[in-house]
Amino acid sequence: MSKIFEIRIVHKDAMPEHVRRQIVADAVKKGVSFQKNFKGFAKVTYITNSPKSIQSVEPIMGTIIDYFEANKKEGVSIPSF
Amino acid sequence: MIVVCPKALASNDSLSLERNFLKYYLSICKKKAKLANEVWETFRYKTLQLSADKDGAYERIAEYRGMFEPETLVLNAEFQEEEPKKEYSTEQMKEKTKSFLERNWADVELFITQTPENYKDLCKTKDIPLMSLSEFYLDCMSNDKNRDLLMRYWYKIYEEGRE
Repeated sequence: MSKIFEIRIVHKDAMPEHVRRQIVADAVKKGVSFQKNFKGFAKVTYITNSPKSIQSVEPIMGTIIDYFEANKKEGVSIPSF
Repeated sequence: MIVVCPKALASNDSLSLERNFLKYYLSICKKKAKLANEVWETFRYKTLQLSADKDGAYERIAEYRGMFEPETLVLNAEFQEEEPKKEYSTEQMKEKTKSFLERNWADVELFITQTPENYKDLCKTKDIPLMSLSEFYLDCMSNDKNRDLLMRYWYKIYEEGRE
């Protein structure tokens, strides 16, 4: 299986109509507490290869900053330049 | 295009609010900030070296890749993946960023740097707009188009404070 190449957090308004509908439908399926925190953002995952291809699009809770905060992992360190 | 210097990409300074705003801005505007290949390679290399959780590190790199982009796509022939081979020194990254700016000066709408003294002469000669992360944040306040973005960002922070 190919590795993840890129993850983009995109607002649904910046996406085509059919994707927007899919994102909202997926968010509705995830329940009330998810819907409460859904701010219209979705995680788009691209897998490695050239050309790259979209693996999945899924709604996320909150904004890109919330996503980064929620996904902080203990064993991961970002360098300081 | 927006170009960033190494320190604007990642640093242990106290500018997490401004750096987060840049990520927020890029995400909302569906834009990517560009950087020199060597800066991206060093970022990837060091993130993998410093992280104990390699899978987690790959995921975080992929998240950064969604907001920041090297000048050219360099993939290894076998797996078609980006493969960082080494890290570059601060001086080398500075020179490569300068070279990138020099070659693409007409396409650069904004250069965000935390070390303006390194690029001031070049930016003056080529007339490249230069800002620090804080200046970019403040500039969005005075810009009608971006003010709305900033208001949404502030509201988000305000909401978090209330929770």
